[in-house]
Amino acid sequence: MKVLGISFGFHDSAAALLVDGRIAAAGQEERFTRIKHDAEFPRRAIAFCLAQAGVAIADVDRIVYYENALKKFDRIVWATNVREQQRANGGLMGRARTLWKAATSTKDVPPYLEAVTHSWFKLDKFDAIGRISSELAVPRDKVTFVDHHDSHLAAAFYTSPFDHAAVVTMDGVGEYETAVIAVGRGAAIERRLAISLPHSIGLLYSAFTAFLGFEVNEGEYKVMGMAAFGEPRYYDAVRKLITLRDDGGFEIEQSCFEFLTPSLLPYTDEFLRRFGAPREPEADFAVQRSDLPDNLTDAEAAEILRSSRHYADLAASVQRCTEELMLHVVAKASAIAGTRNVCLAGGVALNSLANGRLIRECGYNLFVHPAAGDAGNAIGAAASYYHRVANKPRMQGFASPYLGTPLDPVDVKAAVAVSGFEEITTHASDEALVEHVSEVLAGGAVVGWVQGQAEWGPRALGARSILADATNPAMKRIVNERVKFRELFRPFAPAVTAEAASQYFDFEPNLATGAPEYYMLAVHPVRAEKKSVIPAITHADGTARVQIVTAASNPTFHALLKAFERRKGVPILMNTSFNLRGEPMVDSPRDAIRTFSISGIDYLVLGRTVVSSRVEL
Amino acid sequence: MTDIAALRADVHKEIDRLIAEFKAGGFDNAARYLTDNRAAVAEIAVKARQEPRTRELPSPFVYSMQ
Repeated sequence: MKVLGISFGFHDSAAALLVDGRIAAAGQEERFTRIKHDAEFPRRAIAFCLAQAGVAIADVDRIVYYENALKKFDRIVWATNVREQQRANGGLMGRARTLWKAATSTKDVPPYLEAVTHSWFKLDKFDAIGRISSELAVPRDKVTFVDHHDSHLAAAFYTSPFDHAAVVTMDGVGEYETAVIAVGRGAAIERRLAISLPHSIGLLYSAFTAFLGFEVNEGEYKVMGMAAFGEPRYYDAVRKLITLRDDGGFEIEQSCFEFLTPSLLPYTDEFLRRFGAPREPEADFAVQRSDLPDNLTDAEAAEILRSSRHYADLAASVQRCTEELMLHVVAKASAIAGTRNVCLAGGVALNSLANGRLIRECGYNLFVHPAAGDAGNAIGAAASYYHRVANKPRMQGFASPYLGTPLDPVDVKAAVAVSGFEEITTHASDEALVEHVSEVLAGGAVVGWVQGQAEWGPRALGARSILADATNPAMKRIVNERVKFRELFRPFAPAVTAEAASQYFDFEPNLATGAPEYYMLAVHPVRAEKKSVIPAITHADGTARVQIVTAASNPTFHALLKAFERRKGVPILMNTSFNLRGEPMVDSPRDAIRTFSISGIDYLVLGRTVVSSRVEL
Repeated sequence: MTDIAALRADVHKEIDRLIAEFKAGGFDNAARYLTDNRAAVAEIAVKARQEPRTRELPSPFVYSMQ
């Protein structure tokens, strides 16, 4: 049976093809269109999946959309109604309005609902099934949908290595739901508890993300990074916003947030009264005078240091509260399911600090779907249909995150030929390749590393990576200045051989397939005695978001780490995504050449071909 | 029939279909909204369908919820 799952229309469009219970291919549209978080219909991702599997669209048995569009619109109307009733009752600002009095003109429709209705008609969001049928030229009855959190549940459980697990989803909002606890057993997922709007930990985190000057759906990682520089001085104030219920659920106090009918910002004047003015996007951030330009006056520097501390403390506070909530929900889910196996999905599951605590402090056997956000729902939608509608036996678990575009040697040759770069070496073996690359890395070079099939999910895992020497204290600054141009408070992550991970990081790696560290989805402390050994990847709070690599999970990358160890004594490399700021990760050799040509990367490795930006190789 | 009249007729047909689908799905909030505000919704839809299909939404936060 061939099932195509697709997500689009909101953010992070993607497609995934399930063939007889195996994930044949999966891809995110942004990698092909080069538009970060592209929400358009995933034409190119679908074409890739079909081509990769050698399947024609006519041969696909079912096409499954990842959420229920009509239910989502029903929620939007419901939310507007709730808000209008609150206004009519004088509870909030704005003149009273009675929604259900029949509107005779558009001005009688509440502005929020008018804007959404307009958007939905303009972008054909009501009829996702019809849109899919039309785009792919398939009969309408071949297309169906599953609910948003059912897609997340399926992505979390069916791709996990567990036969029995607690399954937890947490995100901003799907149709109505924002979090679900379920029990997975075999091919069945049984829901036990659902939390619905307006109570959403994902939206709360996003509200603080916006308040801290970062883009929602993109800047949540930056909040985590900034938290390391702060103390949770506002813990009590943030914690007051959250009520943890005995049944594993939670509630969010609404006076500080506009989660029902947001017009622009997700927080209210009450939020500003409690937490002060929002941080300006791109505002200077520094925790010590030496991080700031010399030409600032002492007063200017002092103000930047003060505000930086304030916002870092807020980031630390919301991060701690989020971790506490996640630990609470997962503890209850585990108790309900009667197992320590836990599967997570939904955007909140990308909170790698919380994931690290779930592993280290709580001892769960954790699986986090690598594309835990809505992109992963392409797999989830297909998997949900396959098991829960088609009643097929349990699909194969997630064997590898390398499900994307393969590196085609013909494309490499063609891209390099027109690149204008002249210093090119193509090695005859992987052994020769890793010796060469480890040599230049040990010499301080920054390397663009493109191997095999691209990663599924937001993390670069040694297929579309930028690599550098983790032992070099200057390397974070070098990579930032030459290619990434990121805020200085954001950490860089390490890739480490699994066998050496516990020597450098304070956790015992679970080498079973599917451990979050394979997908760089958990943060762990760097061992105290090793912090000075690997300064480039040790964050301000002494932690790192670790990727473990084995000879089975990624043979060439593992061999490179071992080769680097022979030269520098440390089997660890800085591993960051191969992209420029604001762009998606490179996908094709042509993408890689382009990024290489306009950045300060020293060497580009495409399979066994090494291209140098230097005069001499 | 003029283009705008044809568009208006199409929109009304679509609203009829949506009302039926919302009712069939048990989505009473949306069904009632479209039923009670049909004329206004039709105007919104006609205006929307005359615009290019570009995305100009106010913020990623709002976008992610819609």
